[in-house]
Amino acid sequence: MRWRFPSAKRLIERLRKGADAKVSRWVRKRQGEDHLPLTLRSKRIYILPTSVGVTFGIVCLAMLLGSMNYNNSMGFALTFMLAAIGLVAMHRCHQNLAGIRVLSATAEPVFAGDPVEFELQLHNEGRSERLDIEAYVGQQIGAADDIPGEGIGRLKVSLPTERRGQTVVERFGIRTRFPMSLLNTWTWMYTPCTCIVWPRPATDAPPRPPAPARARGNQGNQGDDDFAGLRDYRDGDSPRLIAWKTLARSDQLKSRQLSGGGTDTTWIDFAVTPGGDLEYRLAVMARWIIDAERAGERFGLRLPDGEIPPDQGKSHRDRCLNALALVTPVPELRHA
Amino acid sequence: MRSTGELKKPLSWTLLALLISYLPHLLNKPIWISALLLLCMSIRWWAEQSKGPLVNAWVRTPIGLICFVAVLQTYNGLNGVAPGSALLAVMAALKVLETRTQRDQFVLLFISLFMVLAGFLVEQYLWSGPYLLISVSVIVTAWLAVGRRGKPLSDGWYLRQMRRHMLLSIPVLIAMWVLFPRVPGPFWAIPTESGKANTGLSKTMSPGDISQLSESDAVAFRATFEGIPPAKDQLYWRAIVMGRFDGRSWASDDPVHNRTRDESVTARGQEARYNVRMEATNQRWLFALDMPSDWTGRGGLYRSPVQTLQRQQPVEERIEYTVTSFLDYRADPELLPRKKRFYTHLPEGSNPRARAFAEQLRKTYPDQRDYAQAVLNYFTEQPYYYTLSPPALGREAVDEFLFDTQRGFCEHYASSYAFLMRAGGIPARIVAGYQGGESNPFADYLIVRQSDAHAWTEIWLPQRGWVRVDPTAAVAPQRIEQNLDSALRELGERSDSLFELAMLERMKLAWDMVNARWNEWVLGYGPETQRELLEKLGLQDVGWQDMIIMLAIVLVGIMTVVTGYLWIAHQPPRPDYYQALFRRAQRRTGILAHRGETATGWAHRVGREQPENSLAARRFARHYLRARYAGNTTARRRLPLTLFGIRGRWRSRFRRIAHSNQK
Repeated sequence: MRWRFPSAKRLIERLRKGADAKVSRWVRKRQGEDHLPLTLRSKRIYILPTSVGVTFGIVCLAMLLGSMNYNNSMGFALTFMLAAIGLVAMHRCHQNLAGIRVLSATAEPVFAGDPVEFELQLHNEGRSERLDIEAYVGQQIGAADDIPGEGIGRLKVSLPTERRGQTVVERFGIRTRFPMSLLNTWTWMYTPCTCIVWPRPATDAPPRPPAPARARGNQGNQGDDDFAGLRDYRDGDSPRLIAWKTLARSDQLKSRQLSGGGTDTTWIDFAVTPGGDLEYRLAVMARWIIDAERAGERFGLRLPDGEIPPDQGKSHRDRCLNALALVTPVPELRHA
Repeated sequence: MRSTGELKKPLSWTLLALLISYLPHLLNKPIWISALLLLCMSIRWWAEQSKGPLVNAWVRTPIGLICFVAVLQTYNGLNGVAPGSALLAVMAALKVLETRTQRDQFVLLFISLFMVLAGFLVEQYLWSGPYLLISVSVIVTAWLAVGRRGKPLSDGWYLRQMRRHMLLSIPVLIAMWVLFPRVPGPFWAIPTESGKANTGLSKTMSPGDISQLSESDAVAFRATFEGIPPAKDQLYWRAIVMGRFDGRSWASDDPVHNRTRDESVTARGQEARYNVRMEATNQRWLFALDMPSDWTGRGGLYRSPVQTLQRQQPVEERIEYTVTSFLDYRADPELLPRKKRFYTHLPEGSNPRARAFAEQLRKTYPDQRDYAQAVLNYFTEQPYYYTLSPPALGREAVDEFLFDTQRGFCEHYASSYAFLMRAGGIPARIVAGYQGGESNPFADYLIVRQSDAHAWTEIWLPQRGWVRVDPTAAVAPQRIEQNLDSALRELGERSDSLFELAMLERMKLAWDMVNARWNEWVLGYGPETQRELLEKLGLQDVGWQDMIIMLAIVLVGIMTVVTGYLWIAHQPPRPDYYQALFRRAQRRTGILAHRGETATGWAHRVGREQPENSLAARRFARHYLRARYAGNTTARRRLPLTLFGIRGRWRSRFRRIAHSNQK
């Protein structure tokens, strides 16, 4: 076993966290609530040397002392050149971030255990490009990317998830170390962004109970893809179901209703799931929802705090999974 | 542990930076250090190229320890620049082997910076300037490549970023160079680098010493006169006075000096004021025209009892001082009997023939002045021959030279003359220094080279004091009126070669001027030069606090401009930015685009109507399309510049008129 210095790391970590919280409170008070889209102005841009930058400064100082002592002109020239390079690097680093417009911060729902990927959309309105821009949340840093001049850049940052519920990012950071990694310019945005985390589908789920309510379906069972009438378009209906001719005639968006196996209505009911653990029952329901959607079935969802009427399609599935994720009590994972 | 091959680009740049920073050390480090560094760099580079294995820590650690001990052994310790930079090189070699992360590469780049500095501490030349620029450029490029966090970019991209960064940095560099207060003197003792070869005068003079120097073209010092420089035959630069004679060699360490006070010098007429910029000699003597009367300079200047200018600290670097000299003087009108004895002393029984000759001649000329003149005449009348390669002389050097070989160089003549004077009872001594100097037509200074080294004699006459007598002038007056080179050519010692052409001579002088200016304004830029420069800029009497404040103000000014430039580059273009550029192009040619005509169509029309603008207009149109519609960054940057390629309407018209007139 490797010997480690006792708890020094933990102590530093604790100090860092304390300082971070204090700074965060101060910045929060200073900046107030942020609303996207926002432009990164100098007021909210912070800059500090990196460890490389601090070393660079110490090296410059040492070289200055050496040059003075040896009264060495080329030594002075080298020192001043380095100082000038550092000074210019500072301004370039700051200008590399200033003026960027943050358009949006979004994330697609994921299953618990999968990393959630937040995406920031950044607009560079200027002519020259922005280089090596990174988004981060806490200690999680996304990949660096360049934003072309007069172009849009997408920065991604992944966060781990554990349980279903919500992952809330309270504070996004955007930083850059361009051009020489001597300085770190960053900004914090207090734009709460939530991502829903679906329960992870149970792998050992019991088979779905058979649809008890075939009678509820009024349509005759005459085979797949038989036309059974028109209804108003709902989000998530497949484009194949849209009655284009009707649309052309009457300017109303209607969907064709088909009679067939796919239109059998089942209910996925919290009450019939096995076991006593809430999370397990939700995981089983998630499995059933996914299976039902895959089979192309029409299904509804019954939860203790409400129900979703039967429907089909991917967006319906997502709606149902969202409902599962938000069953009270909602576990929340907050990142700052 | 294997290399991933991901570092290919940044690592190549880092290794190049390391190599360039090591170049100045390549020759003056023990061969094993250079070999170790180059070997380690090759191994690491090869591992990156082939995704090969990295050297294990179990191998690296013992090698490191062995190298450390070897450096200690080679240099007997770690004090000083040479062992320090040797240790840096060894550290770099071992660090290269284990380089895997961004951090490791930054460490290598820091080592490179220190090696560049160490190179300057060892030696500074004219090429140190270009070298500084190149090495820092490569290091910055490597820095950009290592610091890049996104996917690696092309070498050209890093080089362009480096160029941009350096161009923005140069104003700051200049401001700091001019205004950063320079303080005199070291803070802690500098270990002196012994064993540096120095060509130049020495404290003793045996036959053949100065003729060796005459082969060296190295600059001894440069002098700038206030007003018109004195005539060439007045330019006797005194450095060392030698009064002790052992029958063959002359030496300067006469103990009489320490006991007597400064011998008085009084002016009899003309004086000359001049500034000397002297190269390092590691000696205490300075150069001053016959006779120094007043001086200013750092390092404790004083006039020795034998009227030479000296310095308490040895001259270990280029120094500068100002002297006033009396060209016509009276030195030491009274000579103590003890000193008289010292300056007439000859070793018992040495050079009997010369002694007999002197006694005989002295009987013919009882007056001291007559006797001195007679000996000088003797040199002129007899077939003495001035040559750089005289025959070797034995123990009785004066005898052999005077009566057998009769061929010699200045030290032979000076030595024999002083001997004959002493034999005739006249106090005499040898002065070694430089004679003459080459004036540079490109600047108002005089270059004095090692080849101008010279030796002459001083004799003491009652009431008159010390009088300079140059017996060489009697034999070879050309040596004094011109310089050694042309004198020897006239005497047939040297033939005109292609290299002595006037053109080349002028180029050499121009080059020397560049060198002198570089030495003065860059290498020698110290507290005095800084004050001088600021006075030229109209700032009198600036203290270091004022300089810091001024520097801060200037830096804020420069950085405001730099930030403004960066800010503008990051601004969105005006909504009609590209159209405005297109309109300017149209106005320039005088051909307006039709409604709905594309830039390409317009450019083709321009090509038909103004053939001289055909290429430029098409170039503009190409960039315009790429910049406006394809979002091409390069095209955006270059678009405004392509405008300048289009010849203006007026210029084109003027040319056309001029052209038709010619017909």
